[in-house]
Amino acid sequence: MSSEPKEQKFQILLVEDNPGDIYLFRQALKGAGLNFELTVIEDGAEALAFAKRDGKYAGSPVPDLAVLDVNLPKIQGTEVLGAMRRNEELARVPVALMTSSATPGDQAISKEFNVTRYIMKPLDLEDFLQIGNVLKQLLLERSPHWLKN
Amino acid sequence: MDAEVKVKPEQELDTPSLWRSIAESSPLPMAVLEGDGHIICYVNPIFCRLLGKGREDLIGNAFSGVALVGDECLSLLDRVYQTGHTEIHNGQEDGASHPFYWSYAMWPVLAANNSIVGAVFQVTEGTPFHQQAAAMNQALMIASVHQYELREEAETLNEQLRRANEDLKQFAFAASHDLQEPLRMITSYSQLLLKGYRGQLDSEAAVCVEFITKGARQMRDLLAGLLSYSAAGADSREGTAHINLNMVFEMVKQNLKVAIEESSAVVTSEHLPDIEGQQSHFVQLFQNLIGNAIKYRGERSPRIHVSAERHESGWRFAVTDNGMGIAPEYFAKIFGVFKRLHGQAIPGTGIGLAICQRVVERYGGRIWVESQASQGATFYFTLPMSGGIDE
Repeated sequence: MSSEPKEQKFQILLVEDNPGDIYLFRQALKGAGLNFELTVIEDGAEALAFAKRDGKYAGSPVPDLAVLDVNLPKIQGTEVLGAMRRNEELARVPVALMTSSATPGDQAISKEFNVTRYIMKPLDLEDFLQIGNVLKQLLLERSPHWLKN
Repeated sequence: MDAEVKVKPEQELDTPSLWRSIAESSPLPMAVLEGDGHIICYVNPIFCRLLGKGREDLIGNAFSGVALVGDECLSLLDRVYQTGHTEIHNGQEDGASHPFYWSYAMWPVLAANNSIVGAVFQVTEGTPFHQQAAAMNQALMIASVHQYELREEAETLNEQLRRANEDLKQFAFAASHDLQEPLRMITSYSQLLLKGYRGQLDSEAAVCVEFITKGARQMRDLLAGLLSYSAAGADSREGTAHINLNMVFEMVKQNLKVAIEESSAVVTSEHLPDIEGQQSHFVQLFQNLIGNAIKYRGERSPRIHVSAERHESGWRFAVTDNGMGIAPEYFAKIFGVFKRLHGQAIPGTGIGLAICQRVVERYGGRIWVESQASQGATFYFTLPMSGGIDE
């Protein structure tokens, strides 16, 4: 996950267990014309290791944006998020939470863990592809210095 | 009065003490009443026992003050005074107020000049008080056992209902969360297929994919409907509050703004009462009813009127329209989950009225429709005064 600063590629982490959504997500980012490098973690336990920067994730690059699916097998996305927030290096990474459907309490989680964006996975393809634009906007807002170059 | 009793001439028998002893030893309760006020001037011991009172409590008092003496008894007594005839009453006195069986006879007491100076009141049949009390106790016991059984039955039913609601909630949760995921895959990927292979799919293949997409969309709407249905019966986080239904009506009109404008509908309301409940439930209720009235409009532009009137223990609301109406044979069917009377020409999942029914019944009310095909329809629902929150 190394990138040349001059390429100004966004490092995006996706924690998602559904291959169908991973594919669509990648399409969405491409559609938005983002220059990105996507790291996908499909397993909750792996994601937790990443959040704690354990094992092979020690010293891995800090992503510009992390997108977490809330409903992961074994470990909830919110647990991963909590671990990220407790980690010094990952504490300020912008996070977008994605779910298939809204659950009561989602709002509270968003507040507690400083979630940047809350995304309900849209049912329609076109709407899903719009996620790319939403995230692009988010990244650009967060990186004004990059825009100025 | 058998052989052992020395028979004396009538003259000798005619003494006050003798008459008194006859009355005293009578097995039938007896009282002698005097004057228009029916003042008790004599009671025999069995009469006292019947009423469970002492002689001193009775003599000198008006007969009308004695327990069990009802209007019917007093009017018979008046008749005795007027006619001088004996009156006999059989059976229960004044049914409702005296659940006590007694029969009695009454006849006049005449003075020497044959004027009526009083009346004899004799109970010919009756249940003594203590027996009555025992009988009543027994009846009460039976009643309370019955009540207990009813309560147990009600508790069982409540428990079943609670479980059914819980099941529905879990099912709805599964439907909205777990089923949503694969459904999304079907929708998105069939759309992707159409999009990515535009012009490459032959027409038959394109039709197949269209059907997949359409089916998945319909499924999505059904799941969303099921979720609303389950929410309509559940306590939401907002909790119970004082709700101004006039405001709810305005909100609903705002929510339906596009449909109202497109159909040039005129939606009016009388002053609606405030109730206790959860606002979202009533928004759903009115929105479904008014929305339906617009959707199932006739050829005229829709006119929809909401009214409320005080009704027995609560309110009765009416949502009246001039739409296509409903034939009476469908009155019950339309409140069923996913039950519809129309094909895809009029879109919908058939959950709206089921939600309305669930909301109304949750508050202890009832919903029904009165209509004729092509004559417009009026949906009525009641809400008990308390708001009917049963928790």
